[in-house]
Amino acid sequence: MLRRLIKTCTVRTLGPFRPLSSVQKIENKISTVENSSEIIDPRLVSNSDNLNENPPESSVLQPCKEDISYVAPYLRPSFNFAAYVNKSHTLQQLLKLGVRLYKWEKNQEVPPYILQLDFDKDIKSYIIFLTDLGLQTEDLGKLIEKNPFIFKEDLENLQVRINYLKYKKFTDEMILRIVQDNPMWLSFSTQDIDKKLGFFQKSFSLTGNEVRSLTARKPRLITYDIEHIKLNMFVIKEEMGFTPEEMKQIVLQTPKLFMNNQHRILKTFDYIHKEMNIPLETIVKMPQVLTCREFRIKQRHQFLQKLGKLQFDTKKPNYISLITLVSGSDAHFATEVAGSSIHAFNAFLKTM
Amino acid sequence: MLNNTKRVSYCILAFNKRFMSVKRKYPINPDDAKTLPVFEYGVSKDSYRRVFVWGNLQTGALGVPYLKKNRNTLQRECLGAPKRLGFAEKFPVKTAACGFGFTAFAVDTDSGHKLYGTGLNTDSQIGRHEIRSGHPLEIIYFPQPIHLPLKNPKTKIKKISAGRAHLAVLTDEGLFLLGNNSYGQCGRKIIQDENYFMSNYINHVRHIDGQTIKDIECGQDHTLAITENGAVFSCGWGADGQTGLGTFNNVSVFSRVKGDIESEHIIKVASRSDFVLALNNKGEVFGWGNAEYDQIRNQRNEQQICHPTHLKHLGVGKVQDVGAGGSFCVVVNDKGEVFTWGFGILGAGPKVEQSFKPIKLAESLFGRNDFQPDSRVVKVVCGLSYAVAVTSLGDIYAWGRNLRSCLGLGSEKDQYFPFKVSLGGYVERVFCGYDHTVAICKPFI
Amino acid sequence: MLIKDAPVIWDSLRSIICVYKPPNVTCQRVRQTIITAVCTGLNEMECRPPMDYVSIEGNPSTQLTVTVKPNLADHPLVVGPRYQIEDLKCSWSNYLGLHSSGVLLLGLRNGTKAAKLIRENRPTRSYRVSGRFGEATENGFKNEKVVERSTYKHIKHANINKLLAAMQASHQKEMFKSCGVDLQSQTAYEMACEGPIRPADSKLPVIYGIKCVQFEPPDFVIEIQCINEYETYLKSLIHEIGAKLRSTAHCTGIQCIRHSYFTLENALLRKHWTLQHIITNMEECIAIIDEHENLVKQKKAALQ
Repeated sequence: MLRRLIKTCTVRTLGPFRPLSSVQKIENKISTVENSSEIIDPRLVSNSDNLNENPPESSVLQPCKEDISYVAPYLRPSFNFAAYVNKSHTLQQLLKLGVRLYKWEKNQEVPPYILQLDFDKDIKSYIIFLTDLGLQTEDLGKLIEKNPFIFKEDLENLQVRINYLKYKKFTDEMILRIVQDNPMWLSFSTQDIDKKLGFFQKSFSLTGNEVRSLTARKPRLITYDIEHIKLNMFVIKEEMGFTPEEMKQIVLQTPKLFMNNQHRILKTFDYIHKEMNIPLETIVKMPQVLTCREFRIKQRHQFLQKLGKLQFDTKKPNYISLITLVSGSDAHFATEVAGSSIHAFNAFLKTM
Repeated sequence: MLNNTKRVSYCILAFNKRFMSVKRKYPINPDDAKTLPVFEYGVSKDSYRRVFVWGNLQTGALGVPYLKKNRNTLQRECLGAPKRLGFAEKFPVKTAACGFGFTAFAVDTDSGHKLYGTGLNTDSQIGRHEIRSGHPLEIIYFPQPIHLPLKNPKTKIKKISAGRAHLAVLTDEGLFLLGNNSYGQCGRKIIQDENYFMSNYINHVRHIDGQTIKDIECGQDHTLAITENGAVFSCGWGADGQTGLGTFNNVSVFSRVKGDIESEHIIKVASRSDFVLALNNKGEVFGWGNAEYDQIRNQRNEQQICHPTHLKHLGVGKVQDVGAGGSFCVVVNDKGEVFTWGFGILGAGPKVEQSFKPIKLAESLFGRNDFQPDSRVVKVVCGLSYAVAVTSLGDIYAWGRNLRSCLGLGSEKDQYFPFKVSLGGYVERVFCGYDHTVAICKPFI
Repeated sequence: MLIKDAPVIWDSLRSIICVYKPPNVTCQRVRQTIITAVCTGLNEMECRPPMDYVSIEGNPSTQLTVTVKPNLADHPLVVGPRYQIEDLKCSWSNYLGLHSSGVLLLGLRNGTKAAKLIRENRPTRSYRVSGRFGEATENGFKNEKVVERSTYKHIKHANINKLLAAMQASHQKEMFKSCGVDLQSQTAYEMACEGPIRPADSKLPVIYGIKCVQFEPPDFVIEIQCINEYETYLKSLIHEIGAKLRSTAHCTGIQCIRHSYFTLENALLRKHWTLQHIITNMEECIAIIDEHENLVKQKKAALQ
């Protein structure tokens, strides 16, 4: 697969970078050669190109005075960016931003697209635009790495999308956080974003302020797969038995829960609710325990059970809250919460 | 549930066909279990015993019907592995005895029939059974009751023992002997040309020498009895000195065995063929009878020894149990170590065929290893050419000539070292005959 | 860790490690997690810097300049981290099923050879299998639907002990049949005298020791020393014990507590699956292998 991908991005990247049109021209040539199912000989292509540029009257025997250092064979099809990076100004600039180029190789469409771009022409303006929003260099790199197709969007469009957020009374800090945390956000059209925000407002019956705080807290949730969120809503509402009001509390406190796998949260819930006998009301107060993995809560709960220190009643002494149960390192848990030693806890883990 | 709906809809997409919905399995509702009925499987009574039989099927001694229905069908002639006896499921079998081709079972009931027999009945050793008058059955394939002339119906059978063609039954009321008496082994007068097949004579010996009989043992054609004061009496065939009476004549009356054991308190005698081993209460072993396989040597180098002789050469410590086969002897001492000597398959590999000195069989052969260090042999029983050892964990180990699969190892090949016999129970007692074996076991629960 | 150089650590990955496999995690997942942990750990250390790149620039007709600069084509941001998960070989020497937990031996890089040798040598493994009387489930494990209930009050500790002793003796006999030696031969006798032996077949499970270590009705725990076992076999064993004791039983947990000379002491817990702990553990394992030569090279059929 990789081979196929790189074949399509065989472009001439020597010397001063060629204008986009000429690269496309060459690409077309290559693709026609490929289409006629002949073996590509890049040298052949290069020579013909060379002939066109040299004036026909000069003799071959005369010493050449011209700078012909850019004349070189075409690069062979490559597996990754390594073949281009030493010569490509664009890639070098992206590298300086801290973009992990190897991540792009997974998506077939990205490398040919990126190689076509010229940093000064196509990329610089975007970077200026994003820096104006307040993004730092490392955030920029992350954003470009996650969303290379942002350069396909029109700058005006991006401005419109930011303006939309401002119109919806998002503060500048919020917008910065949204762009920082969710690199894909700017690729969604205003209509899409509006629809998604509407969905959240409607299905959780949130107020405007709540929608804003939720968006600022977890921007990725808004653009997450709606089907997945619907599924998790079903799980929380029907299979766990929370009321819509409780679900609203949950989404405001731990929006991450709706992005988790539904089997996983159901498993954790089953353990907390059925094995530990924690009522739903208590879970609603601290829904972050649902994001804890089952084995972790299980081993800690069983350790306490073995020591006889289980006390989930708030009114009694030595009360252990669910939060303290799941948070902190094992050493902290074993000594502070369970009042034992880490060695005893480790020995207990080896009996499970 | 969502998962299932998702899966089902996916299948519809994949095959573009109607798909039968699967029964909902997940999530499992733990309350479903509470609606199930609670089964109670029966537990066997304390007195219940399982009886396993294996060996030659043709004589009928196993109590398992063997019928030649069709010449074309392959008939099994022997049972290679232990089989649970159906008879013992209906009757509480207490003890048993294996003779040469027949078996007797003692049943613990208050009714009249306390003794059952099956197998060869050529000398009416298991009683007279006839369907037509005047034509007694020669072979019985299923245990049939043997009528004993008991005075009190509550009398209990203490022990039974069987020889080649006679049976001795020890009860509270004394000793009953039936079967062949051509050498006087039934303790009654020898009648020339007596037709044992047609007769149904049971000899009753209440006391011997004014003493109550404590134990009996039948050799091939002789009978030995131990009284309460530890004296041994014998009768029957004496051609090889197996009666130990100092003569080679047949004796038809129980007579006191003297020699080295005259002043000893004997607690056990063992004899399967024509050699006898006796054990006293100090753990010393005595022997007499046919010693041509080098079981004992006396000063005159006789092969037939008719005087009980103390086996001083053993040097195996305090002996706990003894067994005497046709050509070899087996003893087990109080540490659970097993020693064999004599001739034949002694259990010490295929290379060892004969030894006068007792050979110790490694304890690992009887299942003692790091995983079960407590396992030790407690009892040994000898058949004519094979031996069986019972361990403290209720396992049995067999070795010797595998005549008609009498070892119960699942094959018909000879076994040169002790090998475990697989049974479904804890073995309490084993009885060995000529080519068949019976084991009485306790069930697992 | 004193050494900061990643290639040194990479070269030292040449033996097996002993990890504690948690229940409800597959062996494949454990392997993947270990590989990822090792690679992440190595990449965080001082890796090889990008190689130098000689570039000749300028007009060939006038003046050419030769410069040496770091090769961007070898930069970790371009070609990815130095240690890739595909490069690290890892295989297990004993497979534990999904529901089992306990000692799992994994060979890393050159250690895969040792892992293979240990696997082919078939050393004994000890298991602690817990069961519960009274309920039978669909697949014999606790996570399935209950299909039958029965009484268990009649079962006493002595009953279990007796049954297990009988099972053990029968299995020890079975190992002889599976060791591939003619029972009539002198060799068979000599092997029998030496004690338990290992089977020649790698498919047939053989139980050497089985005993009940804990009995609190309805729960019980048995300890098993065996060879060639697999998870379903152990589950069915519990089921069989239940049936033989005139009740029903299902398995509630399977824990491998010993694999040849590797015990729970040596096993690395899930939270310790980091490069530093793995390296320390590997050193321990190398010491154990050096101590017991027969672990990888065996001369006798007898069980050690």
